[in-house]
Amino acid sequence: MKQFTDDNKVLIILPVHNEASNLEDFLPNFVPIAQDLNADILAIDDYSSDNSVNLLASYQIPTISHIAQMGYGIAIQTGYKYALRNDYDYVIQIDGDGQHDPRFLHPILDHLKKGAGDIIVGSRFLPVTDQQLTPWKKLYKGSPVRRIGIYLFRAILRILTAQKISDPTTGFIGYNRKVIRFLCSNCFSFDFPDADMFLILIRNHFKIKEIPVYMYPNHNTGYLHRGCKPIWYVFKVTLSLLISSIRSRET
Amino acid sequence: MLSLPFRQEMFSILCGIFLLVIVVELIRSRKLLEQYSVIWFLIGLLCLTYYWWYPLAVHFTRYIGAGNTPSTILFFGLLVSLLIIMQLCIKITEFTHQIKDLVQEISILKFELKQSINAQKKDQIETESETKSEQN
Repeated sequence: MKQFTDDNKVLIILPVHNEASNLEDFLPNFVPIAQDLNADILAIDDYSSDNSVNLLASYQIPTISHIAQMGYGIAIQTGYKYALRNDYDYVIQIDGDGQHDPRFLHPILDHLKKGAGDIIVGSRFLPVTDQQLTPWKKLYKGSPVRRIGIYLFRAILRILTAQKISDPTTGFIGYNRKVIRFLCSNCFSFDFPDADMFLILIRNHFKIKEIPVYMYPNHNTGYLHRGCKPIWYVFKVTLSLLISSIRSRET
Repeated sequence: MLSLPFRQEMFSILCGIFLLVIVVELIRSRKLLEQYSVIWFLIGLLCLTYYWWYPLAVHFTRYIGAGNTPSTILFFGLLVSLLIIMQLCIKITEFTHQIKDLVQEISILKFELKQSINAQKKDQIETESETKSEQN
């Protein structure tokens, strides 16, 4: 496992909460790819009660453990704050639940380094043109509620920003340092950092570029997808989108 | 009726005194901060002086065309309760931000401390093994 050194300028953030069963499949594919990128990996454990932390330790992945369960949004912001404190130039966040195909870390980082955008968004809805990259398994379609939410957020974003973002709920995103600094502020929407964050970033003149990625279903339904949470999620993000549109530009 | 019956006056004065005593005791025992006690002192004073401002409430009720004075007072009581709840929600939001920042800061510091201790242990082991190989 690559040493965690201060000389590296790329940080891959892996938020984790009780993902032991997913990590067993994900880490063997993810770790070699991250090593190829010459990137540091930092896992953020959001107070997991299962074997997630031990699994991460077995791959020698440095892990910040929250002292209480704070939620996905706060976990990734912890990663951003760490990246800012340690002068990382680029951050890529990838979910530890196996939904995101780690092979797309390369193109995300390439686009960041080329300056194609301040934020490189991995979209499951754009077609992958690289013939060599075939999906490992059946691709993720999303539950009906989730799909309704995605179409709704897409439409609202299009109306409010005139910008088309095909996948406004993706968690597979790369940022440059300017964006990391911005996301460490209280502007960050930490309960469900999705479409409303894109709106805030666009209004603050950050450039967003989407690239195609593969996403797979999570065979263990996360806590965000259970019960009434999806309905609350759609309501909250819609409300946040509409309120964010009338806020002044954040300074 | 522009003045209250004697029993109602006494009841409202007793309620006012009771509320004020409770608020003072809560502040004294540090269960309530002074900044959050202002509204409760005001409510206690309002109860205490109910007999005095009741005629004003009667005139106001007639002015707004309401049915009777107690329902006007009840309406404003509910309104004040909602404003208090709103203020508490704002305070909770503030605390949520603060707690979030604290948890993140503590978690990052714990991690950095652990990294630092591991680095020190590694240096110590390397120094000891160098010393042993020199002695040999």
